[in-house]
Amino acid sequence: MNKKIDHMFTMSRLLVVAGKGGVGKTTVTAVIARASADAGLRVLVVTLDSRPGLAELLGGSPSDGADYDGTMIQTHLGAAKTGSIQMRTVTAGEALQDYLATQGLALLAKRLVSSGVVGVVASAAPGIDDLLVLGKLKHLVGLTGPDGDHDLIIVDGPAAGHAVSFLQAPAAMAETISGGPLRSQAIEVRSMLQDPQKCRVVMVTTPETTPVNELIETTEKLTQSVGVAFAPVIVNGVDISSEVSSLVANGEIPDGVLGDAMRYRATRSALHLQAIDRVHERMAVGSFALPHIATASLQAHDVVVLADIMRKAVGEPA
Amino acid sequence: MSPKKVQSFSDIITTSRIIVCCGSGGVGKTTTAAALAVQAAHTGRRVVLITIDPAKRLADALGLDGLSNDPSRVDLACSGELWAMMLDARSTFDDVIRRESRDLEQQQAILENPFYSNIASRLSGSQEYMAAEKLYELSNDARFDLVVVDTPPSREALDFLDAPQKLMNFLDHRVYRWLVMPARGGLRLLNFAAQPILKTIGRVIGADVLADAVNFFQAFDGIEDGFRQRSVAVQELLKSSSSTYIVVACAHNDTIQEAIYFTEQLAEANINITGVILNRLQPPFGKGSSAASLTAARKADKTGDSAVAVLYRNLAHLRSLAEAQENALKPLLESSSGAVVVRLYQRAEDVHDLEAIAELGRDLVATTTTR
Repeated sequence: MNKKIDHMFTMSRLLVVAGKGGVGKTTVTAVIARASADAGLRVLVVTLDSRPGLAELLGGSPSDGADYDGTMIQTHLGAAKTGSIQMRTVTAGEALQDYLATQGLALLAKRLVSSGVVGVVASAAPGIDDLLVLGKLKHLVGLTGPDGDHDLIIVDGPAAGHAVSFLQAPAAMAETISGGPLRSQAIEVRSMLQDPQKCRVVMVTTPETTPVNELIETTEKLTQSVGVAFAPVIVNGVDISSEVSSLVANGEIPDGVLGDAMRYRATRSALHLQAIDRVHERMAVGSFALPHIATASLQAHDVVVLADIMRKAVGEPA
Repeated sequence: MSPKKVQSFSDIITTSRIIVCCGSGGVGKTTTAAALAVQAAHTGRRVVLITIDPAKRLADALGLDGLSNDPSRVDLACSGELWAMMLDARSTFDDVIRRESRDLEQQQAILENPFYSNIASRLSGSQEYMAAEKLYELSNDARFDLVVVDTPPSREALDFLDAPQKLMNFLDHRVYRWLVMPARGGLRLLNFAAQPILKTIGRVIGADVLADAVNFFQAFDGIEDGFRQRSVAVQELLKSSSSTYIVVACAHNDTIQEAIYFTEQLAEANINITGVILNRLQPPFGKGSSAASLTAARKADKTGDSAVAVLYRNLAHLRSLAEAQENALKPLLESSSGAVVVRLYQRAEDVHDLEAIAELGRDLVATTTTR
């Protein structure tokens, strides 16, 4: 069922995780982070809105990684004890201060932020806030590699609708702004997004028709308007019971709740299989199914279990 | 005035004038809002449903093509009427500008300004405000006696309630007052664009972008009063007893936490949640426990009846998930103690056509509400 996901952790320096609300984007971010750290990589997890829960899924405390400087949550992971997970939050305001500082405007940056002028700047041009955040990510990507701080950066991206406008921002700004430092920034970020060795998008979906439809739509939009490459798609929450399905197929259905329960599970299993097949057909880059965990509150130990399944499918990085 | 005590979702759809559906993304808010609207139309009411970015199949089921920012009649055999529309925040904003502008010249100066395009389509809160604006407009439309609105996905329930105020604050911001001021003093744009701080901003974001912003606020000058009055009226409506709030949640810890946060935020704004819809719950299949089914599975293992063991193990699996969900839901039920609660179970098949939505609507009113 899981094909072509080799090298998922090393195919690119930056993985942006995207998917519509409720598909488990944050869970998948945590699973990929844990799996790649267990494979020995030094991972930086970036959240854009300090989404609650992510730090805990990674085994940290709720407040970990909520600030710009970040928190080291896990170290000494993997067989060679080299794997680690650091988490930080990147917001547009802080990215702007950073950016102005690199332009030699550090003092002014403070004044701009405190006077509310940042609000003006952030709303003055389409997507300037997104560009600033992506600019910061590009800077962080520049610091990855054997001699750098991290091997892989994973971003818990914005929800699907926003993912398109978020990743489109640099291309849009490169067109709207006629000159100046932001324009060069936009052009540089755009070329990073279009370089598959530097950046890929991980689309997440649940194995149901409507989310898969939206996944296909979003993927097409991102390909056309951003030119970004994709990592294997993660189909999250897959529940397939082949034993139940084969009993139903053999017509061995008893009356009462036992029969109702098996028909229900078999129908769900068939829907999930169908959805996975559609993702396989439509997404040339491959896909990976994460099994459903029968719980209402996923915990860090569940993430470890799922990460183990993913790591085995990806293999150890060379 | 204190609103009448509602006992069931049947009461909610027959007595409310406005139903606001809140909830985080992916909980099935649009589908449940549609189910409420369909069911209300079946009780004879003339209902209009405002949806925000519905999935394509749902939009198709409701006959929405996204071309119009006005409601169109849904082909539904019922004793009332069902109308639906897909919110187009940009066109709604354009309509507001057209209504409030003093003349055609001002209207054009605003509508054609690139900075305005950005605010209308991207400024945080503008989609929420336009949903509220449309709600206000349709609640005063004699064609309808119930408006059901699906709110934009948000982690802040108050985004929707506060959006009118937030937008006013934005347009009223002292920085903008200050941007517009020199023009009022008769200074030319050129002069004040030469001020050091503006020069610096211009250097970073580009001088033409800044000029658009300044032009926008100058063009906007004078119509804030109309905007403000309207936003006060919209906010009053949202906070009045005419508006009934419903929270939609699924049984996952994160969406439950978000739903609790929503109810707390609404309570702070003196708004009570009238109804809670627990959506896509795992059906428990009978009254027995997962432990009992597991015991039965083990018994079957011993007697070598493997097919029976599979059946009981399957039942145990589904029931244990249902039990875990009920446990996880407890804090939400506590935090919304005054509200009517309804449980909608996950269907074996996806809900995407009008018939399945209508069925969901029947379940909403038929299910006995239990805490």
